[in-house]
Amino acid sequence: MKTKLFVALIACCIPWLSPKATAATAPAPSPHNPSRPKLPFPIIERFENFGIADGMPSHKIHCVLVTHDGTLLVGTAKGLLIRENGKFRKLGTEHGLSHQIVLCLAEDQRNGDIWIGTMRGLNRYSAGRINSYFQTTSGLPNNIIYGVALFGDTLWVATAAGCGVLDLKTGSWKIYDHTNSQMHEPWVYSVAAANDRIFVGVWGSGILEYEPLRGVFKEYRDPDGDFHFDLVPDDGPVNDITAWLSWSDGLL
Amino acid sequence: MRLKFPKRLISIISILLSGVLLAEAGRRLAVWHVNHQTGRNDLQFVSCHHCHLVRKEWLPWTRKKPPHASPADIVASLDSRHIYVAMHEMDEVWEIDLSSRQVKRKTSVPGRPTALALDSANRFLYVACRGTDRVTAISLDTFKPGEWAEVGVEPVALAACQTPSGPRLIVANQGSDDISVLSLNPLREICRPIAGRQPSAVVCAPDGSQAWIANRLAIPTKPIGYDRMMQVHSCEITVLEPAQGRILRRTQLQSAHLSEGAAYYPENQWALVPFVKVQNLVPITQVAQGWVMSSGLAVETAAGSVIQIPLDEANNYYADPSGIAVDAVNHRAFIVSGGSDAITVVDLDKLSKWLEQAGEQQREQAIEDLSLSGEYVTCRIPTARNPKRLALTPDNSLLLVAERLNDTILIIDTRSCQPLGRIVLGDGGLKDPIRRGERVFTDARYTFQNQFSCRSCHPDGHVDGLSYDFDSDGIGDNLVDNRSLLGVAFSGPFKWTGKNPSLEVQCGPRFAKVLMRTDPIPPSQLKDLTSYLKSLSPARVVAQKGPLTPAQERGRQIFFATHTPDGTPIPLYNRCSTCHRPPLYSNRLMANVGSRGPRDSTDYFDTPHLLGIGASAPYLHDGRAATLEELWTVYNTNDVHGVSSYMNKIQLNDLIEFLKTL
Repeated sequence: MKTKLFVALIACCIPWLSPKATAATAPAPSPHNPSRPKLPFPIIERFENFGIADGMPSHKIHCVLVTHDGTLLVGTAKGLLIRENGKFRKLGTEHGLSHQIVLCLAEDQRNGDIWIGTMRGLNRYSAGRINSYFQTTSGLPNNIIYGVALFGDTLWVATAAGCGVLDLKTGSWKIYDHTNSQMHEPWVYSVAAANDRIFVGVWGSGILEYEPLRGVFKEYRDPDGDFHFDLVPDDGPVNDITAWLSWSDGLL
Repeated sequence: MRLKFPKRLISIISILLSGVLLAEAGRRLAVWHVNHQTGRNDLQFVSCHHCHLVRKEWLPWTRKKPPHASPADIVASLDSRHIYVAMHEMDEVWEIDLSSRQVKRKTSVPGRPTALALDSANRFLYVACRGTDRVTAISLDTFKPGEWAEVGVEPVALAACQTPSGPRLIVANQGSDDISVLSLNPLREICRPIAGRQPSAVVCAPDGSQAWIANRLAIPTKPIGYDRMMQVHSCEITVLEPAQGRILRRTQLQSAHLSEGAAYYPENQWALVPFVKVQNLVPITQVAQGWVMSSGLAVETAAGSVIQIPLDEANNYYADPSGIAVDAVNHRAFIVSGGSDAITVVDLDKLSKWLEQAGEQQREQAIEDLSLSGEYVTCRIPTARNPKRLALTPDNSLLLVAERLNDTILIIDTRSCQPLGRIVLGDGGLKDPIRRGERVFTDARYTFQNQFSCRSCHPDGHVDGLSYDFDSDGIGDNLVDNRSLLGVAFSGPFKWTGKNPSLEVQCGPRFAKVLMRTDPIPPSQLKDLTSYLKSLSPARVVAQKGPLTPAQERGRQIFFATHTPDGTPIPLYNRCSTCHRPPLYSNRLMANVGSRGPRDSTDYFDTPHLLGIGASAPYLHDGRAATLEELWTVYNTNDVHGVSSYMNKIQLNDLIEFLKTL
């Protein structure tokens, strides 16, 4: 909760990241519900629950993704679920997935490929074929994949040992970690792609913003240093822990 | 007189003794030098050529080869009056009048024009340029190249089609394992989905709803180690929706590879892909019993199921099938055999009938029955050397065959299947030993029952990505990695065991007895063959188009490092650059890198050269390492294959980035 609050605080501190809603015109009535004023964000009026009875192998859900064609993908502790024709189809290790715990998902909208981050390896799911990337067989920094994001011809991967960047055209990897960037620790928990830049959430380093054109990172830290976890007595507080971030239409 | 004779004898003996002593001293000095330079004490005298007297500019493959009028691809104009020919060695595209058989126009298209496609309006000819990674549009009015677009690495095939979203061009990029989908107005890449391994042929359905891409090499599905080596491989037919470039499905061809052609039969909505069925996991001595490699045709039905049928006969094979064309009017498929100089004609009606009456089990086992081809193969048409691609005129009256190593185009009447003549493009290049050698390299007549050619395992002189049971230990059941022939000049000794000192020995009589199971290649042709092999330049380096990037430069420093970052010296014998010494990046000596497998009889294997190493997976003598990373992360945990334990992941990635530039 504190982390989310911190992210929101940082977002408000950056003028161009601030929600556009603050400058929006007065709300108008919604066409679906005339009595409700029109809001600059969708109102979810109906919830549908899916559980074990609906074919889900686990109650533990790590991520969800709706693809460009409306297909629902659910990353669970026991594989990836793909909702097709009103039913869930499971994609697990028996189909070539590198590990059953699916932590994150991203779609390459140009070709429909799904990138699947798991507790052991990164997977590319392309028309039924799964290609797996491991730290021992490719340039991937680490097998624990916390986040994936596509940015142009590159795939950014948040891992437990730095942020990996795969050039999808050449197949070459770059790694950013505490030895060659502003990261204070190697643990990267989240990554999000904006229109022209990448945001990386790092344990102990707040949010790093990467500008591809200049090839530089910019650091956003807790402004007053007040926000911290005191994990170990007498070991000092740990500041700027970013566990999750997301970017959507100008909002971080 | 009596005194003079002993004196002379004594002086002769003295000279001889001095010579022997000098030679022994020289030998000892040479051994000391070798030991000093390699850090190894197990080496005895080795030739100076292992490390010295070799310069890159002296290597045969650095010399410019004479270009020949070799047709790489043909396409016929919509009015069936002209044909267009890609002359890949001459960097030109020719327009030929079919009635007069004369060249009407030529245009220069730099970058090895390899494949052609016409747009539906017959206004533009699109050319895939393998050397520059571009597709260039030639206006048929002016016959001059105009607009061009960058695509993936080494585009080798393309097809145009009309879709609801506009015209599309589908390009198979063999070097980057992907497919470029281009719009035509303007010529621009829309997307680049991944294909199988080495996509090599494209065909589109006439309505533009689907495109099939045949992939040449098999994809290992298991990630690491012997499990992967011992599995039966399969290559992929990638099916794509051309309008948006989405992959619809990936059809697997079990135990198949070298799919280099694709055609569509609208009557039955079949996609047809020729392939080679390879049996690499059993001892290669079975060549004598036949059927190590056989040619087949994959039929993908509208429902997406695949049936593999044989094209060979029980005692006669038609090696290296590549181009295919379908005569939709007369319901026939024509498949060229580049290794056997023949066109196989398949009656698609007969094939359809056989498939209808065959049970499910019969269909599944069809590829195992070489007698089956008699059911649907109606004739074989002989051609000149190495036919590769073919095309039908739009009125289906003529079949045009590019006889690549004869510099001719064969014209065949499709109704009678009789040759009508040839269009002569060049002199065949028979005065050129390299060209003569390539003719030997691609010829299956040197193997028992024409089962395969050198090219069957070394497409374009490179690797087919498989490990073969070469019976090297005398008992079989021991796989060795197929090695690239690109950049092979001066890299001897050959074989992983280093037993063959020269290419002449490697390809000579013993090889014929062991592998080809037929008479050896005659000496003059063997000489031509080795001339050709020595002329093969290393695999194209894609990773480096200019100066080294910072990551590559860091990798170079790691490669040539004498100390680890903390100052610890790296022993001489364990430095990358000691064994992989420039310019070949090999000292051509046997080395123990701890790769001995459970079935190997030695610890020592030949040190391979590293030129083009980024494109020659898998690695190690038995091909157990699928990627360069695995060499160190999986198989060098004890610092035997160079000192790598100090490297972090960034350093290892840098080293690999550098290796990909060699």
